[in-house]
Formats: sequence, structure tokens, C-alpha cells
Amino acid sequence: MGFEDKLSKLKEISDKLDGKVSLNEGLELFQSSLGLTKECLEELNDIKGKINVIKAEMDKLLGESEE
Amino acid sequence: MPSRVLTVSSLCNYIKNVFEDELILHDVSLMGEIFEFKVSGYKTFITLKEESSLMPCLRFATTENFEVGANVILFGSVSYSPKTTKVSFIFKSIKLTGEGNYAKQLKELKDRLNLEGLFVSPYKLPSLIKKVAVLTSAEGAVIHDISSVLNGNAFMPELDVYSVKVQGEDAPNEIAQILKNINVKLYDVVLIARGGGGAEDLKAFNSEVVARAVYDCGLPSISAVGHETDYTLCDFCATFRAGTPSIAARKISDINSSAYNLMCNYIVNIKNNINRLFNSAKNMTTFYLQKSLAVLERSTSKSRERLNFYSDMMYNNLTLKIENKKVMIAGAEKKVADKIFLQAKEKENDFMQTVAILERTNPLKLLKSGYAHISKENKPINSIKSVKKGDMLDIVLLDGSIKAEIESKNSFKE
Repeated sequence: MGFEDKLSKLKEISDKLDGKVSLNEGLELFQSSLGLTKECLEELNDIKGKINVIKAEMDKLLGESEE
Repeated sequence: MPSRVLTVSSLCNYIKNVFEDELILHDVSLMGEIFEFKVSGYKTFITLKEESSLMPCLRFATTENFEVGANVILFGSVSYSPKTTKVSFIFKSIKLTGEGNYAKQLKELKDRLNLEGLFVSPYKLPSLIKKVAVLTSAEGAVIHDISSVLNGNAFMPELDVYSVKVQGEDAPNEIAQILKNINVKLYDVVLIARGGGGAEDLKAFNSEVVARAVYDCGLPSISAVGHETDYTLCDFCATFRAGTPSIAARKISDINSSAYNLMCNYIVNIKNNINRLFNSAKNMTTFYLQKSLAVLERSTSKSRERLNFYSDMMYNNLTLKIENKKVMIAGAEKKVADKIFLQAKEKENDFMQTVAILERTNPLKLLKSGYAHISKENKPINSIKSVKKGDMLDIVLLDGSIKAEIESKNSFKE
């Protein structure tokens, strides 16, 4: 599942919780949302690392061109 | 060997006097075509031309603008300056008599080219100029001026200089030929440049062949001919007209700086957008989780509330029931107590009655009132029939007993 799909799933869970669910069902849904959130954050951290690398390269290129 | 030796000043002064004394040279009208026209401060400088002759004219006042090529008559006097050794015509007034031939022809050509649409260049200056074809004289200061302006730029373009004649009869064809043969794939822009000069000097850039060559050269073009106030057909047919070669160089420099700044802005935008995208994704991720948690907590809290409510309700109900029972029990207790009391009272009454009866029938009371208990052989005697004379009787009195013998008996019936 891609990041956007996971995010959609989180929204789906959030919307379900807004509706009529039993306490047990709600707890289950919340637990699965926790898992999805963890995966999303891990992916985001990975992306952030890649962005920082690209930014550093861009800054390096700009710095070289100014010389 | 010359017989006379003159000093410079004496010679100059002599020449000056010759001019001053010659009446024909004073208060005369001078006719010619304006070759050059310039107003500087409070002075007007005009160069009049007629065929190949030129006469510099000066007025110590400002004058309305006249076009180069116009035919005019100036009224004034010839003057010689020993300091500058220049002959000039000092004029007091100027009158337009008509257009000069050259000016007329130039105007007609300009109108014709304009009608044909040559004054609207089919090209636009690019957003980045990497290589420039420069048509100019290799001998003048123009290329130096251009280079020195561009040298200060971080993105200095490459300059390919095509050395051309920039004045004279051969200049128009030479310029046009180079423009026609230029390899458009190699360059981003062609720059046609020459320094300042009079109308005659700039004539090549007012020729039809150069104007058409500039328009048809296949590249965006920059024309930088003469001074800022000089406008030539080359200027009109180019994509961009710069007042001077330095201005042209500055334009190229500005274009490249803008491109660089635009690139930097794009990079900053990209960085900002990436950050925004990233933060938005992160916020959305934690948003749903937090929202879910809030909903769950709310739901749990509501359930707890309901639980508390029911539990309170049950407690209250129970308490009420217990209270009711207490009241009932208290009521029942009282009833029982009342009943017992009643019963006890009844019993007491019975007892008292019995006591009263007993009191009434107490033999001791009888004995006290003088009665005695008579028994014979431990058998009570309550009739005279039970005894006879001589029986021994036991007579119990209140404070003792008597043994007595019956002497006689009497019946109440006799």
C-alpha cells in the first residue's frame, strides 16, 4: 500500500469512528490506525532524509554557480 | 629662409582680425542641411552640411529641436577662436526652409519599411543568453565597453566578434552579408554595435540593406548604434534597441541575472513546496490518529458516564428501597409493639381482675373478719350435717388454731 493509500485508510478509520461503533470495535479500529500511522511516519522519515540529500545537492550547485 | 618670424599668438590674432574685419562674414545668413544637432546647457551646437563641406555653428542660447537632415538658414557671423583654432558660425537665429534630400529619403524609407512590418521583430530576446554574435568595428572601444560591463556578471555569455566596417560606402553591404550568413544555431542573440557619430557616420545603419538584413537575420537582435539620442533604421528593425553598446551589454547582463534569480526563486519555491508537502503529509498522518484517539476517548468517557449514571441510579433506587423497607419495618415494629402492649394490658387487666377476685375470696380476709376455717380430720366442714356431737374439730383462726369439741349443733332451717 502506498503512502496516499495508507492516509486514505486512516481517514476511513477516522470517519468510521465518528459514526456508531461499539467500544470494542472502536478500540480495534484505533489500534489498526496506530499501526498505519507508524508506517506512514516511517515512510515520511525516509522521504525527509532523501529530501535533505537533494536540498544539499541543490545548495551545492547554487554555491558553485555563484563562484 | 622665411624673412619674417611670427609668434603663434600673433598669427592667431591676425587670422582673428581678418575674420573680424571681413564684413561679408558678419550678419549673414548661412544655408545648409543639418548634419548634427545638439543642445548642451544653454548652448546649441549645429553642424551644417552642403555637399561634402561642413560648418560647425554655435548659438549661446537654447534652440528648438531640429531634425538631422533638415534644411535651415542660420543668421549670424563667422568667428575664429585663437584658443581652439576653430572657425565657427555664431548664429542668433535659425529658420527651417525644408527637409534635406537625405532626410526626406530616409523618412520615406522608414515609412515604407514600417508599412511592410519590419519594425515588429518576429523574435523575442531569450530568457538566457549564452552566446552572442557581436558585429562591430574591431578598432573602436565598443567591444571593450561591452566586455567590461559583461565581465561583472556571474553568467557572462560567450562573445563572438565579427569585425565589420561601421561607416563608409562598403559598410552596409558588409554588415548585411555577415547578418545573412550568420549561423543561427550557434548564437542566442546578434548584437549590432557602433559608437557615437554624426548622421554621416551612422548612415550605414540607416540603409535599407542593413535594415532588412537585421529583420531577416533569423535571430533575436539588439541594436546599439550611436548615442542614446540617435535612432537608426537598424534600431527600429531590431528586437531590442539599446541607446549605447554599454546599455546593450547591461541588458544582456540583466537578462542572465534575471534568469539566475528566477532559477533561485524556483529552487526556493521547490524547497518550500517540498517542505509544505512533507509537513502537510505529516500533519495529516498524525491528525487522523489524534482524531481517532479523541473519538475513542470521547466514546470511552461517554460509556463511563453511562455506567456511572446507571450505577448511581441503581444505588439511589436501592437506597430508596432500603429506606422504604426501614420505614416499613419501623411501622411493623410499632404495630407489633402496640399489639404486644395491648396484649400485655389485657393480661394485666385479667390479672388484676383475678387478683381482685382472689382478694375478694381470700380466706384470710374471711378469717380477719371473724370467720374461721373448720375442718375435721383435715376435711373442711361447711355443713352441720357433716358433724355430730362430740366430734373434735380443728378451727383455724387468723392467728392460730383451736381444737374444739362439738357440744351441740343448730340448723338455721328450724
